Amino acid sequence: MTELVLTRHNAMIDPLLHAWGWEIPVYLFLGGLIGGTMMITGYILLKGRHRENSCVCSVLPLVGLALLSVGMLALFLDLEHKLYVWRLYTTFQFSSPMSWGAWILLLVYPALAVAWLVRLPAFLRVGQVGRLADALAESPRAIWAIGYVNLALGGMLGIYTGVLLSSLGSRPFWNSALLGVLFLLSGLSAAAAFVHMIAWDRTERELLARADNIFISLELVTLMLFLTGLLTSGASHQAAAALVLGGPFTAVFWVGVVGLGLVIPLVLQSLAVTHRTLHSAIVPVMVIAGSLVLRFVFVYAGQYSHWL
Amino acid sequence: MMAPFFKFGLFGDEASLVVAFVIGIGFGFFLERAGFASARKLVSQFYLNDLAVFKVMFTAIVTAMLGVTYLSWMGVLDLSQVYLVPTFVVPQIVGGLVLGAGFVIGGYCPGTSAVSIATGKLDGLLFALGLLGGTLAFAELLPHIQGFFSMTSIGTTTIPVYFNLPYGLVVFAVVLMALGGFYGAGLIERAFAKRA
Repeated sequence: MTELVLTRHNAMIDPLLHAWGWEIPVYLFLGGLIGGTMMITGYILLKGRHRENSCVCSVLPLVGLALLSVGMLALFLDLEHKLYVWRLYTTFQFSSPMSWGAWILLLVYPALAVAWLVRLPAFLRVGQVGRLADALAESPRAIWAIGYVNLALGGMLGIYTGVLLSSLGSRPFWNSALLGVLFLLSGLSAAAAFVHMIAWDRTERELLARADNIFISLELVTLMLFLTGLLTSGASHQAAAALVLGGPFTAVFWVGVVGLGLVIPLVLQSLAVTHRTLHSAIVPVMVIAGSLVLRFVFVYAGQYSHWL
Repeated sequence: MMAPFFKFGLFGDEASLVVAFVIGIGFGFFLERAGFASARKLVSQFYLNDLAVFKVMFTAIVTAMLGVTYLSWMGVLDLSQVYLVPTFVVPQIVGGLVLGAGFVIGGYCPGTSAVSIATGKLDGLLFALGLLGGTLAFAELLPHIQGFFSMTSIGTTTIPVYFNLPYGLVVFAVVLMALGGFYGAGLIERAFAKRA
């Protein structure tokens, strides 16, 4: 088992173990995006913006619930033994990122649902659900608790998507503790771009555009540190870094992730927030697409990398 | 170090796409700064009251031509290694007319439609969708028009080679043509600006 996990687990030795297709990157992307939207929802609630009629927090948790269901479906499709999925919830393994992820995902549903209750639409505020929604919205303590739970769970979900890969020691490309931070920042950036795109309140749009610039900048720094870490490690890690530095993933990484997903949106959005050009939906779309491409590059390049 | 860098193995296929991306972004940026993200500005050249497109593009052609010529003379660039598109006289004239008609009708050319999308213009997006549709239709039709597509081929050639003229003379003639063109464009713009 140790040999399988540490050395053989790559396409060059056991091609059948080169098993992750589109489902995993899509799930990791949606997980990061949902984590980011939860953190933004938590921040908005803690700032008391839920009292504003135009607050995006009236739809954000609902969107999160929908995206979470799509992500879970992608994860489910990837499972080899689909009927045994329930077994994940018969135990909690402290040292297993997958066990952490399974339980975090289970907690995310109620956290998002309760956050949505705070700004439940009027036509749904009937009966006991309506009374609960009113009670939550009028209780500062409840808002405080919901805000912090969403912040914490969102952060955990975002980090977990990276730790899930970095804990697999058989793949040098993933073998970095920075992956958790990188995926969290990417998820936050995609979520900020998404909120920037759908928010109808100008203050929120501008706030999220500014925040997105910070997230993108931090993501760029983390990405460079990640590559520096690989390049200053052993031969296997250097070979893994070479996959995006002249190897088969170079173009998609530098064009799709760094160029179109980070640098150009950062430049355009910086011009927009300083009122030197107009805001447009192009920038958020580029950020979100870049975040998706990042997951594809990391999952595929990771499976390509191996110990020398 | 000798150019073309790709041909002499300075970087591979993957890195060449990154270089192409950087050059493309630079090209798009300067097109936008020249005002070419606006369909009105672009089609003004067909109404002859604003020939900025003609001037900018001809300037770019002359700059690139002189750059390539001087670099070649200095021994930095091997012109024989620069990729040239093969010439098919009739199909390329027809293709040029189709592109020109699309330019007049849609207000953009392929490159400027991408620039206009980057500035958030929906007409540019629609034009690009039409472009993709046209490309797809052409690809599907190609087996049926293969005869026309490959007719009147004269291979990979250049004006100096085809007409047996000295390379420097052709370069000089193109520069003179550009200077004459800029002068003429100014006269035309003034004449049509008065009518407008």
